[in-house]
Amino acid sequence: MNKHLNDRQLLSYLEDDLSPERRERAEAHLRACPACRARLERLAQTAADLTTTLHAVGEQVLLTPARSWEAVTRHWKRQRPRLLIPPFHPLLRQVATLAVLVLIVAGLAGLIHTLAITGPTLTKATPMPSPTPPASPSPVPGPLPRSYPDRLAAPLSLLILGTDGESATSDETDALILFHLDAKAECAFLLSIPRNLYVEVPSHGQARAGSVYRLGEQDEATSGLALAQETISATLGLPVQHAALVRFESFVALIDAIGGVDVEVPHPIEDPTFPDGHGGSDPLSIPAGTQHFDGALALRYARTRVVPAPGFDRAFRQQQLILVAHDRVTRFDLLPDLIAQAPTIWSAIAGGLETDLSLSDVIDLAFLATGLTADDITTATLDECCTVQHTTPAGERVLLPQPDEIEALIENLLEEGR
Amino acid sequence: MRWSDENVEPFICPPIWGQNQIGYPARNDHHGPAVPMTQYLIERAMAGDEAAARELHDAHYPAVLRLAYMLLQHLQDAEDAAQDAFVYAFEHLAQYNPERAAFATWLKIIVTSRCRDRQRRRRIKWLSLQELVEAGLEPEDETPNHQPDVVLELVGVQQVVWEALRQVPRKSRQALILRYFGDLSYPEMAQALGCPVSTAKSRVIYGHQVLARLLERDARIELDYHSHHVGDVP
Repeated sequence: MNKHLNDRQLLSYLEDDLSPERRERAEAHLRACPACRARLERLAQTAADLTTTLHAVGEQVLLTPARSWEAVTRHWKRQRPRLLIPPFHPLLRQVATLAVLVLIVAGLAGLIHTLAITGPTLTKATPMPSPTPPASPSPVPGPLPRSYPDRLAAPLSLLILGTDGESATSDETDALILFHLDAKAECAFLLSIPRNLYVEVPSHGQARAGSVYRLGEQDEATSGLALAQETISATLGLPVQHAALVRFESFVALIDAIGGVDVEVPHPIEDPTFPDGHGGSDPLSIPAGTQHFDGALALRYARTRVVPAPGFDRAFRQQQLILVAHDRVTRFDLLPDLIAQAPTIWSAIAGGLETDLSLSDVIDLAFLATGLTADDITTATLDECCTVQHTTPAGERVLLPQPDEIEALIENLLEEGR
Repeated sequence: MRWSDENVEPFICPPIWGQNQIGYPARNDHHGPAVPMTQYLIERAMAGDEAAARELHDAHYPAVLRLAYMLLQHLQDAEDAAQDAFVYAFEHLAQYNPERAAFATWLKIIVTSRCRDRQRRRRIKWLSLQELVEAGLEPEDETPNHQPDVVLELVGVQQVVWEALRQVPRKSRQALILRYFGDLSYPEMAQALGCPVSTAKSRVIYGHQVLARLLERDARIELDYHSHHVGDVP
């Protein structure tokens, strides 16, 4: 009680930062001790003087917010696309995943096919005397070597054009996805290109990105894939080595080829207006529970627009199918079966796949891509971060690419993956 | 140069408040402290809305620049530090947690650490200059700290307090500034200064002690000066 308060106690008392008990003791002492009261007053006075002085000094600091903002944006802008790498729209993600999955499965099937035919390196016991695939289960191949052949060391960009069958007749591509893979740098990204991006098509003037494939197909001098590849390469400023058109019916073929899939259907589905493709309707009815789907039913399951329960929508069902199919083709105990069926699978998928990739390219790609998990792949969309909305004289609503912003985005994507 | 406060914006409220010109929610006078608006702007800025980022910048720039000036006592350095702080903040908006601190406080913590970085760099330079001196070489610029480049118009007590504060050792001086100008709590100061909470408080106490001595001494010197001066006048 008689002990004077130290500076810490005085400050805590002033700032009301003492427990009630200590506060009471401090107050008792202050009542009894004029010296400590004087110190407390001086401390309070200094604190008040400091506050007013510092604010007075602050008031005299010249403010130039516009100049500051300009400097901030100059430095921030360089980083902005990194912040703004916008995620895929969920449905677009499904389309992209589907396309890549089909490619990878095609590659795997091709790989297995090739191994089954040439066999001697990985299947120790049965070198194949003829290119005929085995009719009975073969020995399981050993683990694949994880070192990359030298020819895969260079970065690879593949333009994937996705078309879902509805628009296949017009050959308008619904999804354009650039898949960039750099095995050496362990960098991979998927860049979604909007189909209404207004691009400069070599010797065709400006057109929507979704129409480039059709323009190329109509042109005697080139092919749809080659033209799309050239156009996108120029738009992005990134060499695009290969292009592939994936029709999603090949997914149906894939499901059939692996003998269908077993799907857990959480809610019964009733869609009396499911289109039959000829302007009529072909009612769809799926009960709840575990159901076995063939390819055609799987596709209808994925495409019906009814939502029997919240969250049980198209995106969910597509995701579900992809996972089930992915599980099935990558399950190790199914490999012998798959090897047996590889030629069938390969031909089924190849029917919905148009590409300038050779079979060995696809195998390479599958080989590299199977080493990636979803987390390794950055996804991005060329949306308003790199484009400006515009209406053409013909009244088409399009997106004009902004070259500088696109360059920055690509740079960031290449860096991000490392 | 003109030192003016004509551009001073309200501290938290963005200037565009209530105008609703780019789709922001209209001001709600009954429930409208700045927090929900600030949070909205932060979310927009995170989504890449440059106008929202600018609103945030303009609303918080005065406080951030002033704090940087207090800490560095050099306007150009303070501007650089404030810009660094905003660039850092905009790049790390996702890390801002409104439950832990007000956005203004978060910015103050960031700008303080930017200022400390600058001083550290300068000290390293200064140390190497000292090595030069020891090696018998004359450095061109011997002063580690710039002279203040803002001509302050302070009167009376404020002038005395400011001059005294400038003589307080750096760490305690910064603690006093964060406490009495930045209005930071001790845990926030600890974060900004990269020290334990108890140390932050100790620095404030030590700063007070030094300041008290300086102010008393200054008062004495002033008196002595006057008496001598008066005495010397023929």
